[in-house]
Parts: sequence; C-alpha cells; structure tokens
Amino acid sequence: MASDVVFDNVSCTFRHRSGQLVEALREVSLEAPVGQFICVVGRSGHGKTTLLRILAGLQKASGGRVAVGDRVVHGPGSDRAMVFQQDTVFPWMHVRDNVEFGLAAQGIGKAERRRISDATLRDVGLEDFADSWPRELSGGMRKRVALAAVLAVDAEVWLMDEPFGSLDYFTRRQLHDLLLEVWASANKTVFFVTHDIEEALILADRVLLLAGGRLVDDLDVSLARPRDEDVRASPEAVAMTKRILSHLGVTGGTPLQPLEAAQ
Amino acid sequence: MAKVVRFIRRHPAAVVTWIVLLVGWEIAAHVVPESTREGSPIVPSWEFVFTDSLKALSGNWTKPYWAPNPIRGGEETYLGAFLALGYHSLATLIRLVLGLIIGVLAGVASGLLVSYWLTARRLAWPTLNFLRMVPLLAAIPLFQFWLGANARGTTTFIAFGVWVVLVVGTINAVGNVPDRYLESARTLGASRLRTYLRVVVPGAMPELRTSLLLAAGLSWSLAVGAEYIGLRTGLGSIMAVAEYTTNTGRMIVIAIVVGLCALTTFAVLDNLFSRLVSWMPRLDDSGLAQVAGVGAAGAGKAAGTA
Repeated sequence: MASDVVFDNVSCTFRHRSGQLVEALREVSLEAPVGQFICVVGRSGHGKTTLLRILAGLQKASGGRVAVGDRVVHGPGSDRAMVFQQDTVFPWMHVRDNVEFGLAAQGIGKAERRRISDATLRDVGLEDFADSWPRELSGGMRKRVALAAVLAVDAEVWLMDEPFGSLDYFTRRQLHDLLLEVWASANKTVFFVTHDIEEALILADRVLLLAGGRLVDDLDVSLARPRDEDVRASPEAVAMTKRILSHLGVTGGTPLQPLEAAQ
Repeated sequence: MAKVVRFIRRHPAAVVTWIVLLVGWEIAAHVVPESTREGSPIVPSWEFVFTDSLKALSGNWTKPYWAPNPIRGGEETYLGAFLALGYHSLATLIRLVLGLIIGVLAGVASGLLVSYWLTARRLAWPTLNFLRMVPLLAAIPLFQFWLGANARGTTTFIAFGVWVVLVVGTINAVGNVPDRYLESARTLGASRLRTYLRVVVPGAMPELRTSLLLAAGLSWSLAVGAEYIGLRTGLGSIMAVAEYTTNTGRMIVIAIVVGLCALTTFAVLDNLFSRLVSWMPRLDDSGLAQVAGVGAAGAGKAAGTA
C-alpha cells in the first residue's frame, strides 16, 4: 500500500506582486523510499516550503511531475497530511473533534472515530485533554493536537513545515522525541522543512539542501540513534554540519572561542 | 447594592462623567432664558422632566381602561404615563426584534451562500457595497409607499436594513478566515463543502460581532425613524406627538427610554453572541497584561535610547 515519493524534474515559477518572475523551484528530481525521514534544509526564500506545498497539492508545479507511487499529485489529500508552522488547530472544535476532523471527512463512523482518536491522543500524551478547548492548551500542546490529527488519518506521507519553529527550546526537544517515537512505530515517509541544522541532525535519515530553488546536496545522515549530544558532537556529525553550513553560504563559520576570550 | 458599589469602584471616571453631565444639564436648565411657550422650556430641568413631562405622556395612553384618558378630559396620571411608555416600547420592541432576527438570519445565510461561489460574490459585491452606503432613513417614505405604514412594513424595513449590514459583514468575515485553517482542512482530506461548513463558517463567526452590534444600533434608528414618520404606535410615534406639542420634557423622557431599550438590546445580543463563540480565546487579564507589558517595555526602551 505504502509507496515511494517521486519528484520528476519539478519546477515552480510564479509572478511576484512586483511583476517579477520568481523561480521558487528549479528542476528538482528526487526519490524518497517509504519510511525515510527527510529534512529539507535551506535559507529562507530558497524553495523549501514551495517543495513541501507542491507535494501537499496546495500549490501547482509549473513543470515536472510529483507522485506518490503511481498516483500523480493533483491536489491535497489525506494521504499527505501536513503540520504547519502556524497554529492550525481549529479553535472552535474541542481537541477530540480536531483529531477526528480528517476521519469524519472520510466518512468514518462515530464509534470508530472515537476509538482512533482515543489511541492517537494517548500516543501524543493528551488523553486527559480530549474535551478541552484549544485555547486552554499551551502552544506545544496544540502542536501535539495537530500531529495527532495527522496520525489519525493514517497519512502515508507526513509533511511538516517548520512545525516547531515557534516553540521554546525545551518544548521543541520534547516534541522531537515524540515525533521520532511515533514515526519509528508507523513506518511513514516524513518531509520535514527546517532551517535549524541541529534539528535536522536530530531527526533526519537524509538531508536535502535547497539553494536558489535547486537541490544542491543530498546527504545521507547515517548517525546512530538516538542522536544525543555525544552523537551530534562526533567528527562525522561535525563534518556534516560544516558541509551544510557551506551550502548555506556560511563559509567562514562562527569561530569557536574560549569563554574568556569572548569576554 | 454590592454590585453598584463595585461598579462605582471600578469605573470612577464613568460615574464622574455622568454626574457632571446631569448636574451641568440642571445648571443649564436654570441659566438659559425661558422659552416663550409655556410647557416648552429650551432645556427642561430634571424635576420638570420627571414630573410634568412624564405625567403628560399619559396622553399617549388612549385605551379606555386602566388609566383615565387626558385627551377625553381625563386626568394626567403617572400610571397612564407608564402604561403609555410600556405599550409603545413593546410595540417598537416587537417590530425591532422580529426585524433583527429576520434580517440577521437572512443576512448571514445569504452572505454565506454568496461567499461560497466566487462568481456570485463578484457579482453581488458592488451592489451590496452601494446599498450599504445609501442612508436608509431617507428611504423610509419609499418603503412605506411599497409596504404600507404599518407594523409589518416597519418590520420588513428593519429586516432589510439589518440584512444589508449582515450580508456585507458576513462576506467580509468569510474572506478574513485565515488561509492556514482551510489548507490544514484540505490536507486532512476534507472536501470543499465540508471545509466551508466546518471551517470557514465557524471561523467567520467571531468577526460578525461588529456587524451584529452595528445592525442592532441601526435597527433602533430605523424603527424609531419609521414610526416617527408614519406610524401611530411605537416610541417613534409618541416622539412625533411630543414634537407636535413642542413638549421638550416628553422628548427627553422618550429619548431616555429609547436609550435604555437600545442598551438592553446590545447587552442581550452581546451575551447571546458570547455564548455562540464560547470557544474563542478571550482577551483576559493575562492578555491585557501582556499588551501592557509590551507597552511598558517599549516605553522603557525608548527612554533608554533617549
């Protein structure tokens, strides 16, 4: 049932408000096997979000073809559910109804919906908040609700557009652990957009680097999991960080100085 | 009583303003020159308003029972005045509430319907926008010619005025629902119709508050206006009688009653609306504190740079 994601020579050009043509994506080709955790890294405005939105079907490619298995992407669908950077949990629905939203859209009956939402809320640690209003939850908890909604529809591909960008460091780390935990037991393909190299090294099997709309590098991140501080400080990881930084145009790097010297 | 004390403690400025206004009015009443017409002071004093003028309103109680009829030579009584005020307030309120309910339901329904189709919205928008600009009070004679100068005509007129406000407000509110909610719904597999019904419609509700309160205010103008011009019952009509007899005190009593009724309408509507959107994040004390905190930080920063 699960299928690989294929980008075949995908380009995306649109006209900026100023009338200027912007090539957000240029001839991107890639293949993502089932179950791979892919981080898409790049600077702002270099095509990361465009790539994700095209795969989601929220934006049309102006050239090329995107497919999941033999199904060509023509529009949005619950096989490719997305967690957005902004808060998209519907404030007018209780947490449970938010989680069941996609299931109701599929016409799944009430009892089955309830069973699934119970299980998913337990997976994300919100079993005690099923009947809460979103406004009663913290930002991190609302992200858990958004993730639960994606888990509930059993999407083949999880699309994540800097989902934890607005959270504080500790909440973000907690959600990394949660995401990896549910991903490990679900065998789903993840496309995770981020500009945070640390985040990419914690999460990814593979890092795609975008610059100027082109796919400029494709790194295999074969570090041992879990990716704790020691793993991320290994020579291999540091080399990877340097390679990513060089693509981002940070060639000189930030010199590491002893604390006294900095003062 | 405790409530009154709490209100005074919380809103001292409002209380002071009211006292200044009332006392200022009273001083003006005794300072301005006397009117040449007896019983028509230019600025009627409060003691005059709440005795002679109020009692004179019993002339608007024309039923042959419960209180004497001054027009037929009966005595002016407070009972008659209160009966008249109650009767005519009720007449206006029934028209207004009916007009408001019909107008709001029709306005929101047609606004939602028009918003669903882009072409319909583009076709309707310029006309609706123009209608909103037309001063409806000036259209009262035309409406009374069409619908008759009666209760049903007035109700229809109010409903129409309210409908215009709500349909424009609804279309705007739908347009302002953040895209991210729609996109999220679509990636979770919802059809366009489901997204509209379950996401766009509830998402547009909070913004309808302004339109609703605007329509409530307008409905009072329209009701009193229509009654003033052509009806024999309702607060507007007894205002016309007060004008005919140049009884300034009566005008003031009626104006106060209209004000109180309108305030009540606002309060009831706002309360009903808050229940409807009980899910909405409230700007509670912590929210206000946050805003104030930002303001203070900004001021501190400004002081620092200066």
